[in-house]
This record gives sequence, C-alpha cells and structure tokens, in this order.
Amino acid sequence: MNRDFSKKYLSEENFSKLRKTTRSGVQETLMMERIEKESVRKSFPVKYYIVLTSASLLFLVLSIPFILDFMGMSKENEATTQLYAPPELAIIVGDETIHPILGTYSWTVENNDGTSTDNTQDSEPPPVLLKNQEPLIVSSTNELTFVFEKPPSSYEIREWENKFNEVLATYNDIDLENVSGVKFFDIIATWEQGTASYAFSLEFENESGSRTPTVERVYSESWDGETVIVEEYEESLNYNIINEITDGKDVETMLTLLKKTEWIEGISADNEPPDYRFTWNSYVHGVWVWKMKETDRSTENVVSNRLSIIIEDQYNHTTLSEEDSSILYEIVTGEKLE
Amino acid sequence: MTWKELYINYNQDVYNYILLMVGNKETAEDITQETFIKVKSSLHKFRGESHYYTWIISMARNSIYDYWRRKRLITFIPLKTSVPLVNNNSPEKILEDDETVNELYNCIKRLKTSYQEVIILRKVHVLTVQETAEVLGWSVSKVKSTTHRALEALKKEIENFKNEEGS
Repeated sequence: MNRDFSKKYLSEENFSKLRKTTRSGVQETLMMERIEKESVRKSFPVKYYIVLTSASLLFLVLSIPFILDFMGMSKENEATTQLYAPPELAIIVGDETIHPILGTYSWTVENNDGTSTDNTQDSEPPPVLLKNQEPLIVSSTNELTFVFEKPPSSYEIREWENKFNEVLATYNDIDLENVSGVKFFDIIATWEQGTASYAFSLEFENESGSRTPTVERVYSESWDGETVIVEEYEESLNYNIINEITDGKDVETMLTLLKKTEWIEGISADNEPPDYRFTWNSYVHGVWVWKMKETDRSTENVVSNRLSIIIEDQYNHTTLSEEDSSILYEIVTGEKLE
Repeated sequence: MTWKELYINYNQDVYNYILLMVGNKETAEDITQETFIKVKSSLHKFRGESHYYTWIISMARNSIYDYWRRKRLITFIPLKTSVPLVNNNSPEKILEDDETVNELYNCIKRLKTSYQEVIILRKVHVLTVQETAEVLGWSVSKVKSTTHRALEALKKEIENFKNEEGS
C-alpha cells in the first residue's frame, strides 16, 4: 500500500507542477531596472588599498602617509555617507578576486532622529568558517591586494591555528617567507562606525611551485602513540565511538596502506558525512564505505567493497584497492568488510 | 544574448529553482535579483562551455549558498553536516491549491540538502545528468548515484508522512 502512495506522489506530473510555481504580477521591466541600479551601486569605488607584495616574499606594506592621503581625499564623501553594514573587502591575486567571509562584527548606524542602532554578529572562528572553501593558492611571487570599500582607520591581521581554533599570531606586517601549506587568516579592521573581521585562507605553494604530497604533509612524522579513536556516523548527526586502536602493529599496517594509496590532491571532497572517522596524529580522516562497480568485458558487473578517505583540511581524497580496503576496514572497525 | 534577454527567458525558472531551495517567496525574489546582478556583471566571462541555463542556475545556486552563509544557516563542517542546510521551519505553501504537490514538496524539504538539490534539478527542472553535474560541480556518476539514493530517501519520507498521517 505504501508503494502506491509514493508512486502517486512521485509522478512526472507532480514534479512538473512544482516547476510551474512562478511568481505572478512581477513586472519584468521594473525588476530589470532595479537590477541595473543595484549593479551600479555594487561596483563600489575603490578608495583604499593595502598591498601585500614582494618579489621573493610576501609582505604587508603599510604606508602611513599613503593612507592619510587617501583618507583626506575621500573625507568629503565620508561625512555624508554612512554604511549600513561593514564595508566589503576583496582580495585580488593576479586575475582572481576572492571575497573573504565576513565574520564577527559590530556596526553602528546613526538614525535620522539622532538615535543609533547597533548591529552585531558573532561568528565561528576562521578555520571553521572556511572549512568548506578552497583556499586561494598563492606563491611567493604573487602580489596580494586588499581592496576595502571604505578605508579602515586601523587594522590587524591574525593567523589562526586550524586545529584548535586559536590565534597564533597577530601582525601588521606579515612576513610570509618559508611558509607552506594552508593557512587561515582574518583581518580585523576598525572604522568610526565599528569593527569587523574578514576570514580568508591561503595555500602557499612550495618552492617548486607544486603542492607537497599528502604523504609528506601528513605521514612524515611517526605515530604520536595516542590511541586512534574510531567513530561511526549515526543518523542524528552524531558520531559514536566504536573502536579504539591501541595496537602499534595495527597502526603500522594502517599507515603503510595510507602511504601506499594514491592520494588525489587539491580537491575538496563531497560534504556528505563520512561513515567513519578517526584521528591519526591530530589529522582527522573521514572514511566512506561503498560498492564500486567495475564492468569487465568478459564478465558482468563486478562489485567490490571499497573505502574512500579524505583528510580534513587537506583537500585530498583517495580510494583504496579492494584488498587494502578490507584490511583497513578490519583495523578501523574491528569487523570484516562484507 | 544580452543579460536582459537572459532575464526574460529564464527569470521565472531561476525564481522557481530558488524558491524550491529556500522555501520562501520573499527571499526567493531577493536572491533572483541578486543572481541576475551577478549574471549581468559576469556575462562577459561566459565562455559558452555550458548552456546559458546551467550557467545561470549554478550562479543562482551560489547565491543561495551565500544567502545561507550570511544567515549562518550553514556551518562549514563537512564531516559533521547532514542536516538540511536550510532552516527547519516548515516551508511555505508553494502551490496554494494542490495538496499532493505541497505534500510532495514538504517531503523533499525534509531530505538533506544534496538530495534536495539533485531532485529539484533532475526531476523538477528536468536537467540532464551532464547538466546537473555541471551545476553541482559533481561527477556524472555521482549525480546518478545521488539521484538514485535521493529518490529512495524521498519515497521513505512520503511513506513516513503517510504513516504519520494515518496514525
């Protein structure tokens, strides 16, 4: 009986009715005029630059006279215009422009009647905010330009530790020589109307201009001896601890398999929750179990159980061979893969 | 094509797609406008590698995600997410007069976001697997398998819904 219900619902006719839901009474020319106006407003005038530049290293160049100059020039406008939200910030590297994520801010808007309204927003720390975003890839020869919609009166840049969500360091200048890998930053800028933070992440290419492979980044150090705790995904968003790997031999085997498998770099994987996850040396691994169908010319579909793995924040993924999948599955869950 | 032509051709479809995703008419109107502002400003970058429609729909999708991000309805934790990215307020009645279609929509909204997306694109907007893959940035095989799983999940939702109603 239930099947009949779903059939009745899942008809092409019903789906096409859903598509027919359009809006009525909207005058297209009026809407188009609005879009025209709005897009003029959005292409904000560039008033202020902070330039991160250098031939061999990245620098934040802070030139006081330069800033004062610009602020002086734009002073007339500022007196009359107040912004209703924190200014936009764009970061330009070569041909690419990214818009950092607006994080925590507090912004005061003067009302016409002499009162004022305070707007505040609290947010997650940058490593969390940026979790689903690909970092902007930069090399030491790149020039980074920060373009604010309105010049801030002061600012600072903070670098974040990505595992503990703590501020590592605060700078006005960043000397980014000898850095590699993905780094999380936010820039905190202050205006008369308030303070806002903008989060962004950069991935620094190493000297040869390519990303270091996962095996070097993640598995170059030996196991720290911490118990590897395995959690299983549960429907209600939660993970349950199902296994603890303490045997050094198992960890050794696991490591051999993870080093051996071919990691695909630079791709952020699917954000569906993994079936299992475990932490090795504070690198969180997400594991999916799935059935791979391979079509062989001589036989029919061959189905094999496979494990796919990503490492959180590493923008990589891998799928293990059939044999390795079952070995790793057994270590991770303590059960046989069927 | 100029952006105005694109607007005239596609604004209703874009609006519909956004409405089904966000479940609120006013928001859908705003995001439609925002999408076409983006279309207008980046039309010169359109390389003709995909169909205009899939290009615009992917822009609409980005705008939706921007909106959710602004509203902080998404937490960017890939390894923990499976909650629908939209808020859980029950969606508006989309079709005033057709109860079955409204119920179908409500069941769709109970699915996780990736399932909703794939059903709306494949089933409602009848995009091909290839086009859906372009919009979602997924592989073709992922679109196929996710569509399959999404429909299974939707069937279950409908059955649950009917059982709840019956009891």
